[in-house]
Amino acid sequence: MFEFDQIPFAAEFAENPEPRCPCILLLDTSYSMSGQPIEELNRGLSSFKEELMTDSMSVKRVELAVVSFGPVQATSEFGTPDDFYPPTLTASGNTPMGAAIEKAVSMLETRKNVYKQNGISYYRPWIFLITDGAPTDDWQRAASLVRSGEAAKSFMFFAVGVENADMNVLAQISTRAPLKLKGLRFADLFSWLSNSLNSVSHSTPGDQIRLENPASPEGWALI
Amino acid sequence: MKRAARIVTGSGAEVSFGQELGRGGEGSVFEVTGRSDLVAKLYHQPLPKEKQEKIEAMVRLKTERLLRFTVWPVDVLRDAGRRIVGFLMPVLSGKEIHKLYGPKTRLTEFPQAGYPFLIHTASNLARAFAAVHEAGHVVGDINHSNFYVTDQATILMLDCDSFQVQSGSTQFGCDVGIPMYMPPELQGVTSFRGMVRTRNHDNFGLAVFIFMLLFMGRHPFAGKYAGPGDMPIERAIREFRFAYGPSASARQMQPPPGALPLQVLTPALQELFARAFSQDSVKRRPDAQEWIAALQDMGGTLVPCAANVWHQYPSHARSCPWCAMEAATGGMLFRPSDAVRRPAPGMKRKAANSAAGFQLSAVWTQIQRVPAPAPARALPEPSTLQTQLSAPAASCLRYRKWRIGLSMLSLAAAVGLWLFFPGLWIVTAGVLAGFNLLLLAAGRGRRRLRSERIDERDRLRVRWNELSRRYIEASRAGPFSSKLQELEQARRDYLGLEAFKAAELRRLQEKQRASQLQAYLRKYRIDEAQLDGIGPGRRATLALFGIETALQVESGRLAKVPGFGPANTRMLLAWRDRIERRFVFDPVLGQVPKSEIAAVERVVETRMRELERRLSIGAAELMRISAGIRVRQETVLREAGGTAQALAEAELDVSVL
Repeated sequence: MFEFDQIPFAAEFAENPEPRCPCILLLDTSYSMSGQPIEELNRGLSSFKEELMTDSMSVKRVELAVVSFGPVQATSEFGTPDDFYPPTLTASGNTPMGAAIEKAVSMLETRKNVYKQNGISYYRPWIFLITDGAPTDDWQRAASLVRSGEAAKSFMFFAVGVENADMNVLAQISTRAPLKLKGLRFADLFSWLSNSLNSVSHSTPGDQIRLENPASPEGWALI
Repeated sequence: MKRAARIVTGSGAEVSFGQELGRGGEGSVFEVTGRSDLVAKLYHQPLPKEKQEKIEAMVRLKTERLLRFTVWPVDVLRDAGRRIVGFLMPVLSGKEIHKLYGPKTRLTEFPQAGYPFLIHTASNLARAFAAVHEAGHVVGDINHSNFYVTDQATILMLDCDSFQVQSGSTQFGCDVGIPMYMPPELQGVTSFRGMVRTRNHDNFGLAVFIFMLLFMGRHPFAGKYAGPGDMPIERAIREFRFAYGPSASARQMQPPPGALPLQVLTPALQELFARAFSQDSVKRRPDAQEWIAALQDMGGTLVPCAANVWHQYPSHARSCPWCAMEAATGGMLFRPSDAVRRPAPGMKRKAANSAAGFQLSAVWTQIQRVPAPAPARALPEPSTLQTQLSAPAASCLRYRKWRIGLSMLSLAAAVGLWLFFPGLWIVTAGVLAGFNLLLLAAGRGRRRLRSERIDERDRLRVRWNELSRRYIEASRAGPFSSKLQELEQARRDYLGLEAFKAAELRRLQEKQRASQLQAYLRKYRIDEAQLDGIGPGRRATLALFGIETALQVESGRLAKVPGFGPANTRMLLAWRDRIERRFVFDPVLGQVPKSEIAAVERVVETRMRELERRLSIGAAELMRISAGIRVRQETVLREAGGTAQALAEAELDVSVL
């Protein structure tokens, strides 16, 4: 019979026991993203990795995962920036945002358990949703997961709308005010995200971090 | 850098700045023109009066001893209004301490560092604290970026302007602190402003950093917590939950899996850690002197591991803890066992000054010996797995047998009843029908179970497909093969270094010959030459076009001279040719200057060292990537194992129900 070997899951933590800041990117790859938006998004992703790599603490502490939708799939599992290979996303399908959020929340729970099993401390995780549409599935359950997760401080949920995104629905899902991306400034967005994660990774788990306001006149977002 | 205002030192000398070397929240550090030993920190914002006084006091309080361990301010920088806008300090060397204590970065940033190096760094860190404390100051803002370690294991502390500084009876405070390195009594403090920091506070941070150096980057308060909910480091510190200590289990803590057991250290160090993190520590923690003595003692007891030259451990441990930890976790803590350091007998060192005993062949064998990550195996089709019915399905089937049996019995009973009491056929039929209806109702449980199991099977099938996809994803060998290619390129470059050097030297030689030839040709003037058919007029025209000696006689230049025909051109070129053929290179005069040869050698040597470094750690890096892929594969497989079994069970259930 086929053998499913058991080996402890500790190599990455033995070599790097720093506290972790998990960050899930929830990326809309529905058909409406095709063309320039998805290209800019892909470009943004690879510069994101480069920027995180320049900070010696972020390389050890930030862990990235990518969930793309539709269809919902974990494109990259959690890994530190040096182990993160930015995927090349292609646009197709509809916008199952609700299912994607549920998947992200459950991935975070699993990851936190791995940390706990390995005696690794962690920062409050980030879920970062980027979409250009409106959910095509049932998002009520996802919205209540986000609300209870934020209330219990088990993660922070940020929503960014691109172009014709339904900001109304985003505002109902996210307890933080959703941000509207100016044009296709994905590069600026990821630059902001990497700076924010850098300052998190230089703090102590549990600290309050003051983030730079992305909706300032020179920022990448509108409220 | 251009600054509008004139900036002068304490003695009034003007300072000009070079490149910006680093930028922080408070200020930036710049090169100082003409001073390679000093750098300048300039603040972004005008400083409050108190901070200006603090910097002035610090410059006054500088000592030889402090400057050995810190980049202490050595001179103030003032603007035109005599306000202090920054200071000069010694240039920093080394790397951030977290790059040393974290095994992953240690392998690349400090590849030669073994356990003796870590112990040595720990005791130097204690010496640095001692120097600051003896001068009456407190470090205060202890954090992973403020200590730099050189490749000699010496320590330099930076950001000294945030220290708490004692100047006579005046105390300048430290307003910052990172909670994960702060003692229990400072946990939960919302602002450090105006708070008096003590050596005993510092001694907590010192103990944490010594711990991290000795325990492969593990924080003493990060462990497995058996209680409900999370146990953030600050809370663990506040509640004295030292994960390795004697009272850890009473506080529901245990060390993380695969961490170094405290018992590997000498009893003296065990005792110091227990004291530093105990409840009584609030009153008095071990100080720098105690740590230095205990660390030096342990350094003297180290013994080498038989299996790996890079492993050394305290002699009272029964066997090598590093081998055990590496085997248990699959991680790499020190460089893998290798032959790199031991030059094979009879092997002559290369003419170029190769780093002590670097041997490409040995290193390359190591690299090639790293097993490539296992390609994705074909996962078995779950329905082919041996399995048994699930408990509900099995019991349902058992009941079905009973139901069929009872049904047959009832039929037989009804037939018997009818034969003996034909008059009672209505009763008989009624009993039969009623009884079987009851049985049928009981059988509905089976259909419900069946539809449940079908749902379960479909759900598991989706999950299985997802896991199979993730398994293939996890098995991607891309990072491994690109690293290997990178190393192959490094090897080719390394092997090509000698040829590169030879070519460079040939080029220099060639340059010498060319310049000697030029000087030689320049000696033959056209106006002095025997050239039939080229009269003084023509010669004057040539001179007008800058053609005066054999050196300038080139067909391209001659073509530009008006009225100079092909016959004359040919003749002039033949003249130059005749002269050139008589040229003899003088090797004595034409020696390549030593400085130019040295420049080539320097380039080659830098490149060689860089390649040697990259190749030396190549095997370790490959091993790490390979192990990472393996671990990811195994994780998915483990999950897949359970899913496959459950799916097989569900398939079997569905087929029999």
